Amino acid sequence: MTAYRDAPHNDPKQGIHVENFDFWYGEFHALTGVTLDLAQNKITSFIGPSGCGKSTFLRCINRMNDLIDGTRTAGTMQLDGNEIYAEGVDPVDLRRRVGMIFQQPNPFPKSIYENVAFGPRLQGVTAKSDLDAIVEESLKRANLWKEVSNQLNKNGLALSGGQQQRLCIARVLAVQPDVLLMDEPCSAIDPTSVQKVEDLMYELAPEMTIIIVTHNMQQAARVSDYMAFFLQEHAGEPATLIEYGVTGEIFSAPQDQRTEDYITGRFG
Amino acid sequence: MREQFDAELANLRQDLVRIYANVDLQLHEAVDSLIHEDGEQAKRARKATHKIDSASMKLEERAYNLIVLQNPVASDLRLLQFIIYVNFNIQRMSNHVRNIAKTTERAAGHEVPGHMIELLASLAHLVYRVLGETVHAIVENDLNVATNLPELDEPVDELYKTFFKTFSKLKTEDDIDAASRVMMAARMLERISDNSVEVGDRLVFLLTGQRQTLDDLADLDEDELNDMQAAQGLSFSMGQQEMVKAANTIPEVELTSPKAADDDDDDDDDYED
Repeated sequence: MTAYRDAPHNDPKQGIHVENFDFWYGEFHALTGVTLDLAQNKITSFIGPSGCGKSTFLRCINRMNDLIDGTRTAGTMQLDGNEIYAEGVDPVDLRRRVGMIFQQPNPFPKSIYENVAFGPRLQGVTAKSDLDAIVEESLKRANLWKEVSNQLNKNGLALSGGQQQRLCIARVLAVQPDVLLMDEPCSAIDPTSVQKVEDLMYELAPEMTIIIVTHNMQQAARVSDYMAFFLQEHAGEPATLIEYGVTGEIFSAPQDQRTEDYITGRFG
Repeated sequence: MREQFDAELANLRQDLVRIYANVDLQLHEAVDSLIHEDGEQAKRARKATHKIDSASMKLEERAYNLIVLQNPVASDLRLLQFIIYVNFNIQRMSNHVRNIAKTTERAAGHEVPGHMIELLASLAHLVYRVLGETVHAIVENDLNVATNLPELDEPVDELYKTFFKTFSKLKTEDDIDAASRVMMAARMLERISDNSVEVGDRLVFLLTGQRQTLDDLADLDEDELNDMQAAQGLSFSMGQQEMVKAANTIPEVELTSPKAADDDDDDDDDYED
């Protein structure tokens, strides 16, 4: 049973709606019975100890797990009323709408400009002036423009870790996603860069739904409007969603004893 | 680290109960000194309140240190907020107790008219019940006990009103100054009772995480109150024996019903006016 604390409810035709969702890696039943609506244009954090299924669930939202052999799902996962796992859904198109930022910044070994222009080019944008405008706008939205505007031809890999992460964010923004998935985006960058990425999330949230997986409880408290706590209680059994709702409420008075014990550092 | 933090939270809670029990104890001393015109007893009670203030300030400092050093969340944070708020009320109650003790010293040699001392003794009796039940609710983390506090406070307010009636009936040859001082002591008692009920309100937040008052919960039954409870940390149950021991230092009060107490204290039929 999941405890819900003023959890959001979406219009059925809008946003991400998940109901009784299960996931398997081959024979291993990794997740079970996840039901939640993800708040639109808000930041939601997924927390829980290692192996609790939070990253697995995040990757289900843009079908990144399809890349692993033998995975399967059950239940409902919808984006704007359409089944994400329905036959005929193009994962590439889905991933354009649901962008992803990873723990390790992974810019292409290309120039800063080409990193950002890559997605729009795939979408058929060819005019130099259009690409220039998209690159500038995306880098500005990722709060990187001021630092790189005079060196757009520099290799993306030559940037600092924090800058590389913001370049990856700019690359995702260039294709105008509706949802941004962030899988521990700050765990491999320095504290100053963490601050910049968190500020960026705050600025982007009014325009897109952001979901962040983090091990940093303070970060979850700082940045997210809603919080979901996942837990695999017993080894060999599937993990599930334990508590979901307004971050402030969960951090001040969790309903479930397991949430209380985790966020106060009694395990995990 | 987590074990140390739990132990320190439990220690804070135990010390809070000890200080609260001491306020109750010194209130008994101060009121007794007034009833028996015992200046020495009043002086001892007054000095004891300074020690309470000092212990209370140290407790507050420890609570703030834990907030800074441990970044508490959930029940840990609620407990620290509760301790800081209760501590603030303890300081107010201690000040009221001190003023009652001062009344004994100032009223020495004066004859207090109109059975006001007897009324004060009855009022104090009602206030002891409120304090005792508050400590009981804290020690047991018991929302059901806490919800009784407003009801226990009602006769305090009612009996306090009769002081005005008695005062208005005094004759010119009565010692008005002495009567005024006892009226002020009654006022202090009434405030102590209110402070204690406010602590009960904060217990609601500690146990449920919801910012509601005891009055808001008045119509809920035991099951509904239990359903409201949020998850609790280990520190909520650690050191229970120590707290019970501290609570037991409070002199026992005969638990008569508010109605019976009212009847005892008032010969007039128009008491409810």
